[in-house]
Amino acid sequence: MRSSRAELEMVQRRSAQEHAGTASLDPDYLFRSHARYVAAIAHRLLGRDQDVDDTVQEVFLIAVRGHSSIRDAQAVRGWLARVTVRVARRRLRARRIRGFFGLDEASAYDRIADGAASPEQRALLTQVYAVLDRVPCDARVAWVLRHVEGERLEDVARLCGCSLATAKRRIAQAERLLDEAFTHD
Amino acid sequence: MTDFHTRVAESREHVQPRWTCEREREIHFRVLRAAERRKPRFVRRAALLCMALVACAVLWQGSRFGSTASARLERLRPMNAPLLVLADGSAVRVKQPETRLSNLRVVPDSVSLELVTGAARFEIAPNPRRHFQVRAGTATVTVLGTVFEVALRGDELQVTVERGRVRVEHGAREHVLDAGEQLTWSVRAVPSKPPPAPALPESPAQDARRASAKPAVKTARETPAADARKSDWRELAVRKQYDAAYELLSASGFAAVGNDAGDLLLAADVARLSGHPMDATPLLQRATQLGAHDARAGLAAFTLGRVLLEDLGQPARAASAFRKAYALAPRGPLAENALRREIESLRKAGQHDAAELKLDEYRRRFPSPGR
Repeated sequence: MRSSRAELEMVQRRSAQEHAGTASLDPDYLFRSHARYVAAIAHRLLGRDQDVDDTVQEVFLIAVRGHSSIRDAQAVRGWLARVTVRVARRRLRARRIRGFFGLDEASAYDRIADGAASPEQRALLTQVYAVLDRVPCDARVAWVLRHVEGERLEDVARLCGCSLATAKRRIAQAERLLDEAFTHD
Repeated sequence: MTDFHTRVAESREHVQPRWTCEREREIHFRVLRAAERRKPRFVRRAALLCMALVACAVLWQGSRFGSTASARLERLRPMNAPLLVLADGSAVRVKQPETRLSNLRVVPDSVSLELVTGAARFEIAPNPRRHFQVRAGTATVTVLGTVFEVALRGDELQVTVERGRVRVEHGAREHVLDAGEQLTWSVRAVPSKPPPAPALPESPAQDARRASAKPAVKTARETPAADARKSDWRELAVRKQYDAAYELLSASGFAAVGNDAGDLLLAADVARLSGHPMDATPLLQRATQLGAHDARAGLAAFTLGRVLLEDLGQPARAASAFRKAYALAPRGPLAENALRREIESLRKAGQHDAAELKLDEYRRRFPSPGR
């Protein structure tokens, strides 16, 4: 447990930093404030709980190295989201290559939903993510950001680092494959 | 929006990772550790680039004055103006008008130069991957990250350490100087046998009279043969010939190494770097037990922890060693690393509760790690 004095010093320092607008740029504070947010995005994009830890670690390593380049402390959250999307996309591609050579274990997405989900919701999410494994990585990321993460189309484009038209095209591409799969089912 | 999209939208709030405080701490710890590992890589690259720039500058200057780069670098500047500045901020300044420096050599992992006469001040940025050596007469001063002065007046060498530590070697003699210490040695002739231990005054003001006045003290155990053996393995160790040094040391027995922290640390280096980490542990334990008598005890405890953790796979004992390293110098340069390594060791030993407590302590003590 923290001693009250140490706690007080930390609060005072944090308060001073916040006053100067730099608190959210402190790497330690950055992690404590945004780790859960980054983990949630990574979980939704990757679908595997066991991949989340490595992704969060990689994102915050990039953050530790690059946080000094951020001018606007308010933009940290969006910047972390973009980094997370980039890292997740890279991991999805690596996963696909491993799968091509038979080195990646087949994903079972039965643990994608939390304990509060109904059996129907759990089944739906498991099916959706199983189909997404066959969708190209860029299209998968765009679709997940739009329909699972619930982002606006403009934000999807910004997070993916592409134009609005490209984002729409990628989402539509994923849609088609999902439609086919669910229609056949 | 189709029925499918509506169902997905209703389910998305349930797509959450199983995020716990324990998991967050674990990842935070991994980030801190990985960030620490990556830092030296960048520092090493920057240092290499700086060295290359300095070497180019020296070559250019040498050709301009019609001499080779490594041959002469004599004083051409006003006193106290930096004669040499490395890009990492390390600087060499002359202290006397008659100061002469020569034989500057800059390679990626070492910088060396010779003080021919006079006095110079060296402000060296800590860099464990680069050796910085100053030769003065027949003595060698090896920098361990520090600010210090070297003066050579005739046969008399005087080394004063303002900040950090340096190692002074002359023939078989060797001494590590800490901040605030000064050493005066006669250095022109290399002694045929080890001379008396140098005086180590507590303050620069006391040093000069003590250094020359202190009589030689020789223990009954140190026979001439033992002296020769001792100097042999040490010379080999200093020349990084650890296998040969280990053979000599193991023949005479590690127990014969005296209770001097410098000797014990060097012998431990010989053992572990020649591939015998098991032999290093008793030496490091002895150095650790010097405790309050020697500032290097903390370094010994930290090294012991590393050997136990990395070479011998004994994380529980390693945790204890790192704990001692931290306790010996809680405000020292190794304190943060010691505490971090203790947490790592406790985790590896399966003592997760203890690791959690230590992690709390770490966060309290170092709220901004690595800064």
